[in-house]
Amino acid sequence: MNGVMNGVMNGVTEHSISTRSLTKTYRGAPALAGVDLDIGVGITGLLGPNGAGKTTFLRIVATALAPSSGSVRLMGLDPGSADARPEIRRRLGYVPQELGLYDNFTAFDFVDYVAILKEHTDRRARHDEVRRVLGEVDLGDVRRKKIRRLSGGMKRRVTLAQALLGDPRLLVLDEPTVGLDPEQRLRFRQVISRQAEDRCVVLSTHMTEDVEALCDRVIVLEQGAITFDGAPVALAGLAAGRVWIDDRPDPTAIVSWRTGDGRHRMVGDPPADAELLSPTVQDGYLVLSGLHDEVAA
Amino acid sequence: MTWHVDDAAARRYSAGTLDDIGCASVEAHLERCDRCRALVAGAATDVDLALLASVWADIDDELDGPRPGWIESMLHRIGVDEATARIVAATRRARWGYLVAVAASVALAVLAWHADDEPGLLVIFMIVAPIGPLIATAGSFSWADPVIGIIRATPYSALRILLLRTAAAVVPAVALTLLAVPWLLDDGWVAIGWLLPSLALVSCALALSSWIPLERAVVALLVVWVIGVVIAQQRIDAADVRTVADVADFTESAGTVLQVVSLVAIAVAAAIIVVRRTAYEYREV
Amino acid sequence: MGSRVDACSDAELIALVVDEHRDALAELYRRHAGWLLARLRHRCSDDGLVAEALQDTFTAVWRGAGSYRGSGEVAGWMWGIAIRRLIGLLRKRRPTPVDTTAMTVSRTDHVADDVADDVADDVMVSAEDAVLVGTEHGDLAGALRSLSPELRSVVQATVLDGLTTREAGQLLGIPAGTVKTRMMRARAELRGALA
Repeated sequence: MNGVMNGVMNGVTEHSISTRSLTKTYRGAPALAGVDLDIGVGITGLLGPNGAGKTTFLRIVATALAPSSGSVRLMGLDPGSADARPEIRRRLGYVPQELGLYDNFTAFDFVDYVAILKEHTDRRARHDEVRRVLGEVDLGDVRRKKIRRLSGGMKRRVTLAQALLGDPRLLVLDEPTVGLDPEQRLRFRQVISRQAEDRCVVLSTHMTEDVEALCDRVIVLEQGAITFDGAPVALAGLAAGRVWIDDRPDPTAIVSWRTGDGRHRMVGDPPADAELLSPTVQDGYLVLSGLHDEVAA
Repeated sequence: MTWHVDDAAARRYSAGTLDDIGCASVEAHLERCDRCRALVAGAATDVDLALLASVWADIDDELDGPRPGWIESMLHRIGVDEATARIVAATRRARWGYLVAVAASVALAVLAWHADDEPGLLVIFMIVAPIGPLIATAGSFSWADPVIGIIRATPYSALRILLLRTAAAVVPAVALTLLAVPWLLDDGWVAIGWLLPSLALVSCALALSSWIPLERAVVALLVVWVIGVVIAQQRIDAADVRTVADVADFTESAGTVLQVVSLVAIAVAAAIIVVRRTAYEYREV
Repeated sequence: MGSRVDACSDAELIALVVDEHRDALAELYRRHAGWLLARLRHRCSDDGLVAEALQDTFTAVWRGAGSYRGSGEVAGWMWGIAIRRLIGLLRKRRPTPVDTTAMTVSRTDHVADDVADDVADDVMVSAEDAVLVGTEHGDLAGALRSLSPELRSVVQATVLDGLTTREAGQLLGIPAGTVKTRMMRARAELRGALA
């Protein structure tokens, strides 16, 4: 019990997430291969292709999955300990990748149900909390609507609302912007920015624009290992001097695409007199994957 | 209507200092005149206004919240805490598989009623009856449940949720199958002999689900049960059973074995669940 | 949206409530909760019970708005719900009252009690009674002034509040039979006063 209390006390100064040699294997195949990480307050993005281990990592951080080996500390506590686990879960909010909802519940009923599972026992206080989180995601007006009648974007916001219950110190979001249109993504980013003031937010995404707009730090995972860990500008910086624009596509470029005004934007090794552009995070990510393909080959 | 409530009367009425007869006049009038209703409302004190505001907040809150269905209300009345009641009630709302199992059990009761004429039907009843509750289990709480991801990250005990929802599905399934009992009383122990095997199947499914997803555990046990039935069928053929009386004789000896095995299975399953309870709370897979 | 509900009649608001418009219910509350509170307070001195009855009234209106038949004022319909909720809550608090004053009433009342009990005691007042009491013609005050307090309270409960004899008994804390006999006496006295 003492250990738990110490962990709680230290949670303020220690990192929110600390892993050492974190490994997870499914039938011999490693989903995570010895990950060492310390993540603290702020917004951290996880980038990587499908199967890179992002979902596995986030499930472990959300205590929805036990690691195969290695150590995990969340807010200073060990989720493997039966005493500490509920303590961690009380301070945690999780949005899984799959849109998990009961269609015949109303938005309010669903979030209220999760609130009960999060041990909000006083009914009136719990209802106030449910209204608060639904308000945070702008669903206050539709709280009595059945979930099956809500749009896809609204359903996503319901799952986000339940994660915000109880003002968690640690927010874990797995591909939260999938299926959202640009306006909804913008609104989502606003909600998350508001949350990140003094808590640890970890989110995974395919969209580099999310990382660019939101994250203080980005970690790139590939085949269960970290290939980059730093600020988004540093990731973009990997492509410094390697992004150019021309009237015709260059076959030696890693990737090229046609821009709106008919010219071609390319990432790779530019010719000497090329018209260079300042790189985006996506460019840096492409260069990084390209580099790794070279190393692997 | 020319008579209306005057300011003074409205104030005295609101304050409770108006005489009986005056009150009666005011009240009869209020039912018909919205202007005077507003007048009386306007004469309310700050304390009254605060009370009205707090009542409205309560109304607003009550309308927001889920309306407890009859199951939840009944559970509340017998003193069950809100979380337990809600979890049990949510089983019905969230999983349709339970309804399928209940329907199957009812069909079984009807089938059993005809079993008097056909010894074969009786055997079929014995084969199928224990499966109803097992299927209800799969319908109650699935690791493929879309909300499972969220549920796993909450502090509430996952094992407790599993047990509650299984009970919520299995108890009605068993109760409905029990409806068949009055029609089977002449057939001896068959009337109740399916109960322990069905509980054994359910508890083994729960125990297995500490390693594999619950639906797979249910399927695995169905397979085991079918194999057992096939073996029993071969023994029946070997024993050359013809009439209902023969069936009764045969099943009596086989039946005791079945009951004992079921009891042992229940005990072992319970032990596994207790020993491996962490596996339910912190999943390996 | 706010100005729209302002302009609606009570009946229109009820129709909106049937369609689950919360702001229509809020407008009904704004118009009616005040006088309902005052009138309930005149029947019961326990503010906690009154508040609970008021809350139950509006949630009942929300859920049962479809049962308003459109006849008579919405206000009267709502009062019917409110007073019955209050009686229901009062009944939970105290058991059915036994009338100890039965000992002291005259023999004729006693006989009348027995007769009254045999007849269905859940009867509501007739239109004739309403006329007699003067609610239709406006001389309510005059009619009531001529009655003794115990008869007056019975008349108020049955004619004004629209309760059945059983409900009136529950509200006033007297047996339904006594309500019936007192109504009979009140009717007799009022008819006598008219003559």
